[in-house]
Amino acid sequence: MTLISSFALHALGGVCALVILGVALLMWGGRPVSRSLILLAAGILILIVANAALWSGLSEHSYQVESWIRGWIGPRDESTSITVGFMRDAQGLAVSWATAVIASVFLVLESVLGAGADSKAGGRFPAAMAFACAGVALSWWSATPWLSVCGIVLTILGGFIALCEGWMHPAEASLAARYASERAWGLVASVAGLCVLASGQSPLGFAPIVIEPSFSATLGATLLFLGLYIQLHPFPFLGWQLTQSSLRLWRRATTTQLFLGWAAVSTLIRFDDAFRKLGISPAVGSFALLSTFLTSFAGLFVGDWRISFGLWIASGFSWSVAALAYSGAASSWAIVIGLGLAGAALAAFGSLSESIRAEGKKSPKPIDPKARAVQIGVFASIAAGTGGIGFFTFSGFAQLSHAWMSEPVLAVAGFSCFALYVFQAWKTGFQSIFRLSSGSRLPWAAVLSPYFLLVSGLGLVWTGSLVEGIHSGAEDRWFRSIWSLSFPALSNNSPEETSLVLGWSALLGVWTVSTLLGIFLAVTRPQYWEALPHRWPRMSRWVVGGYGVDYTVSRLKVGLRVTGDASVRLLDVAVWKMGIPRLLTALIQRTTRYANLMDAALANTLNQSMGRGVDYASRGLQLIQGGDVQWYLFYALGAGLALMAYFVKN
Amino acid sequence: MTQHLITFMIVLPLIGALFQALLPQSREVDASRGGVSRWVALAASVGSSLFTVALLFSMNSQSPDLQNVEILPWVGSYAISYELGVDGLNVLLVLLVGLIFPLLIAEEWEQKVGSRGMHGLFLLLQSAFVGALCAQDLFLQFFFWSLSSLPFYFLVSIWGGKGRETAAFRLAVASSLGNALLFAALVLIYYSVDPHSFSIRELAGGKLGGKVFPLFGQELPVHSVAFGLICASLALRAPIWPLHGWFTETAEEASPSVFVALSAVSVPVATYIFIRLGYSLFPETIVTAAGAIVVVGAINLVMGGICALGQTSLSSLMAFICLSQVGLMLIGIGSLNSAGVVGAVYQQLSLGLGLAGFGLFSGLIAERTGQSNFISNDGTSRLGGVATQAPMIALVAGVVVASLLGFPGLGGFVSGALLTLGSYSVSPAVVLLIVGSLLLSTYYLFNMYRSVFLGPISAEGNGRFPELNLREKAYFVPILGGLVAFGVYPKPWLDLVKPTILTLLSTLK
Repeated sequence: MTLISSFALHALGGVCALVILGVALLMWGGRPVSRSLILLAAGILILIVANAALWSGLSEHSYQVESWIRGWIGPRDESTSITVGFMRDAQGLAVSWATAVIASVFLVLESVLGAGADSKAGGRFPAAMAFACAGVALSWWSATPWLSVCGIVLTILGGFIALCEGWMHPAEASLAARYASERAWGLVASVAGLCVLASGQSPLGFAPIVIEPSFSATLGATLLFLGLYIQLHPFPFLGWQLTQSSLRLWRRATTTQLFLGWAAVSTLIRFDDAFRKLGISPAVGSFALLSTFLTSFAGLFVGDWRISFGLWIASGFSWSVAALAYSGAASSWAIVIGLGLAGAALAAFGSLSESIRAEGKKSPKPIDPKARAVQIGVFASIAAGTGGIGFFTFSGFAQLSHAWMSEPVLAVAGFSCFALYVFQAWKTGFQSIFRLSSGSRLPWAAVLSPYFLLVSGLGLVWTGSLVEGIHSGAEDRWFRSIWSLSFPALSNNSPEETSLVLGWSALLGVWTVSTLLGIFLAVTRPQYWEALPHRWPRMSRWVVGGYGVDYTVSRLKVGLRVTGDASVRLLDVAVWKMGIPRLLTALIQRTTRYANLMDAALANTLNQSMGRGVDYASRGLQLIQGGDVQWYLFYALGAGLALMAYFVKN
Repeated sequence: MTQHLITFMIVLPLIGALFQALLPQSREVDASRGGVSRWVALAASVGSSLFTVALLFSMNSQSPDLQNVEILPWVGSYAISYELGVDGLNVLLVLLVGLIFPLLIAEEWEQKVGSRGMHGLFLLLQSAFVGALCAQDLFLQFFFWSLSSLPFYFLVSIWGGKGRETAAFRLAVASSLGNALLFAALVLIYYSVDPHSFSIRELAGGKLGGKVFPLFGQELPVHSVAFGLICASLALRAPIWPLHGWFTETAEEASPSVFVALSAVSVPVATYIFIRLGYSLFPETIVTAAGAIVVVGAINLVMGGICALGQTSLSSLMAFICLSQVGLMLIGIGSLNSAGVVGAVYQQLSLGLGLAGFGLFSGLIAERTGQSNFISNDGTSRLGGVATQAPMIALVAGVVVASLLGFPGLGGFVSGALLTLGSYSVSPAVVLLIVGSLLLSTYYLFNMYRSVFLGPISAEGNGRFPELNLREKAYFVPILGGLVAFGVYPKPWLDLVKPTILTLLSTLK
């Protein structure tokens, strides 16, 4: 038996190399910045090579899922043991490919727009990217949820390091600390959930997941879901997203949202069957739908487009969870991939747009093809992320809309939320990012590189079909569908034609109307959006404040702190420092005083008794010594002796 | 030689301590100008640690029995023997003691006042703790355990802060009371069995069951009274809420290295003694009292966390973290299943390393900034920006905080996961309590991290914060290395612990 499978070795090697690179970048990255970017490029290359090796092995084995698992805490086959291992399947490899693509594009951006970073910070963002890429890869290549959680930890670490750009500023430092603590809450809940799931069951693994329905399984699955969901920055954890940050958008978006979301969703998608079996999917879906609505709604009240962008991404990830609950893993995966690529593209184009505007203020020049290319890119990115036809997100939303067709109430609620989601995206893009009035001196490589993400987000790339064949029998399949390889059950899916057409039509209709309305209002009525917070100030403050959640939590923290302080004051100070010492001192003093008194009294009594005894004896002796008593005693003694002699003689 | 490894581990630091007392006074009072004494102290401590490593390598991980056993009659007329041995229950703590004390001596390398005395006391502590861990005779264990309380009195009263005398006095009172209760229990146990014996081996397996003793006309069960006395004794020294007042006061007054010895070593050793005596001598009683143990643990866990929220100084925060984590250990001990008890034993090691790291970096910060208060009463940061000036210290603190929070890949995760797995069998509510407590921990630990390491450089820190020097790096490396090694590859350590725990659990009814 080999110690480790060859594919597991490739996976482990790839992840370890990225982590080591990340550590090296942290410790020795810096001036020149190009050195750290070259190292990051090497890391991305390692990821691509590992991916390629794994993919070729997968294709040789007819795309069958293969896994290798070992015991980590406890032997492998023992119940309650914690196992780790690697899994090779199309789902995970496709996501890691996409991760490498995004990282490559941001490498280009970083080299162009990231110049000017000080020497100390020079290695940090490349290190953050290395950790984040390693984390996503590890999450999707894991054969057990335990190792997947380790991948999430790596991604969180990447996000935290990326936030270090502003560590010197109090507000940014608080933001970084808040990011870390909220992500840690999610980790705690996830691990607790896994522990509950693992107690009394056979060791947890992804292929297959064997969980028998029971109270403990439901509790564990609920905790696990909550913990993973927290990583997606959903409602009610909007506070962090709603706080302004000066961190460059593409850095914040990739490491703290997109890659983290991809890492967290890996376990959610793999646990889809388990969630359904345990019956928590309906609640999950409802909660996710509510979250998308509230998150998108908050985006309407926010003036800063970067905050609005973050809320849009968070809402999109909530959509992926809703899709998971209502229609299954395949549609969720499609939305996640499409959103990630589109979100990364929009972050890139948005940052380029900011750079162009800054250039334009310094030295204006007429708008040129580069600026137009950025504008087109913005348009295409929003279309790609909101389910525009032709993009992979459309496939996911189409499946979701079909799932709603059987429940009219759900369909109405779902399409309403979808409309708001699309509307908010266009409002954000067209109000802030799209507006350009100046040309640019940026290199074409920087302007065009995000288009690679858009091309990667096309439905054709993932489904092999122009009409996004989401059911078998698509006759225009150009090449093998990665989507079908990742979800074999998709090929057997033959939904009813009528409901499928209804779903698509409704989706397209809602998307078109929301798009047109969003663009129209953003372009022709921008003053409405600016006036919104002033028109409804209280509601605006409540919404932008995270729907009062932050306030409630801060009150709770104050309450707990007061309780803790009171306990410390009562017990540590009042009882232990003051009360008990005073009590003991008083007790000891009184006891010793009484003991002393008793001792003195006893001594006194003894003295007196002894005194009396001695006194009487001495008086007696004195009487004998002086006066007639002496003679009387002599006579008495003599008489006594004479009597004794008489009786003895007789 | 391999037969007397434990004796060497105990005697070598004692010899080193003796050297400290007998070496002639150095003419150069300034410690930075050198001195044979600290090198002798370090050599003695490291020598004992090397024997610990040899002991580890000599152990058979499949065997649940005592290994490297040494038995010599000591006071034959009272059946007191010099009986030592290691098994899965104490081997990790022996390793912890061997790791920590050389680091503490290295940390106090530049001690200007009475360095020989301090190093000598640390060596005495090292001997005492190893003896207490390895002793298999109750009297011998009591001897070493009570020996360990005396050096702390001097360490606190001489090298402490402004209120050191009061803190030392309270520490001495609590320790003495605890020791007195423990001794009463031992005497009770000794006279309850026939033939009288102090040997844990001979008393194990419920031999005290059914025994009674008369008191004020009543017949009281020996096992209940003795168990209660032992619980009370160790509750004073562990510490257990609400008997922790002396502990938090000592945290404020003791020097960082002394408090590390107290919290990172003495507290885990106290819980070890509780596990050893409770599971070996009182198998029936511990089953009956398991629920109460879990309740006490839960109270400790929650109260420690809530009290930690309001702490403004690093040393007080560390004290309440210790309190909270002891609660977690008690929950594992009371779970009566292998995952929980193994988790509790592993937690002793990971908590010890985590608290050692926390205490040592707190000490560095206090030394460099002149204070250990990281936050004012109004919530504003008093320190800040350390990460910018000294990133290595920030990295050390980050790893320690991550381990205390149970992040995967570090020692705290292994013990935390096992404890959570084990505690679910007690009640789902306990798991939710653990989750709640960990959520609280993330808040106050990240709050501390943000206040100390992030943000602008504070004026109170004088704007200068030197990076770790070579000596400081040297003593942080074993701590971080240990946390990572025990977290990434726990298998060999768990293999050492598990057979013994399973054997102990099999005796429970």
